[in-house]
Amino acid sequence: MSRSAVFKKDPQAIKDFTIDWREWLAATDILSTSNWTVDDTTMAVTQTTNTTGTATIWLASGTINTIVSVVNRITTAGGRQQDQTIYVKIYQE
Amino acid sequence: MPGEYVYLVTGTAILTDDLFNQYGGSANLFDTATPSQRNLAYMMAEQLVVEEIGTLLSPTTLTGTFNLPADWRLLLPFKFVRSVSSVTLIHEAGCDCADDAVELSGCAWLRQADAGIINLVECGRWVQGSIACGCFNRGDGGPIQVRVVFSAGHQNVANMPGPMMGLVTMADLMMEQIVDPAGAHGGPGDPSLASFSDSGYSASYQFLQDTALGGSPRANFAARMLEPLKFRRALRL
Repeated sequence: MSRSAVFKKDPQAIKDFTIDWREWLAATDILSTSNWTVDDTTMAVTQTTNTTGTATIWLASGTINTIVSVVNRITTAGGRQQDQTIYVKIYQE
Repeated sequence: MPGEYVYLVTGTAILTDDLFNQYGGSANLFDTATPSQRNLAYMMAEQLVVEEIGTLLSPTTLTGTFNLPADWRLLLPFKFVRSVSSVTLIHEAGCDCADDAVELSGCAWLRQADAGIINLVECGRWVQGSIACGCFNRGDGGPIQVRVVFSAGHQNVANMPGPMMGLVTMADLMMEQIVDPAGAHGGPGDPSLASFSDSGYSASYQFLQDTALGGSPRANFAARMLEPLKFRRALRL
């Protein structure tokens, strides 16, 4: 687990990526909504889930040798909003 | 990490003709040397002093790329760090050694500024990839290297009599090696004398090393001058 992470993914792989928002959330606040933006149309989002403190995206496909920016925008029950970006390099394994 | 990096002095930061004379630099040497030779002597003196004290003689902005330490505490190669203006975390994107690193910004706290120790801070939320998302030895998707822009060095050295005397003494020695090497204590190359006898002349030197350039005082002096260009092995990887 890291911050500001860059991951790799084979185009045939389907992988999950989770952002842990608990450290950022105020003690009394919880995650309300989570939206993901993927800047590559060849990358498929197969599933997204979230708990009160984490947001998860499942990614499939992608174009080899591209680095895809994946942005998670969350809104909390208390009305706070924040973005976090992860990067996924599509790499032939 | 200190000792692996060098700062090559390419211009004087402190020493001037006025300061050389004010602190009692040799008038004979001063008059014999050309302005260009004096300037070279000042630069050589400052280079040796930078190596001796482990930092710069005036606040200087430097950029270095370092392997990311496991505990995020980075020992910078120069002491007396004044500020860190930029921290860039460099991630390897994929395992193909291609030029496609992703650079993300971070920041740093001065932990022990005088000792050159900073604490790196990575921005963002904790991110977890699925199993084996990273590359070989870094499975967490985290950064591999860090590029730091920082300022290090002393302030107002020109107003510190003791250090200035040290600088001028070194400049005097360097100027002597340029214009009158035979005049140095012990002769050309300024070898350190361990003992000296006047009648029936005899002298023995100390600190002379058998360098790749030779073992004579002059060869030792040349080796000293070339020291900043030498690769220095890290104590451990």
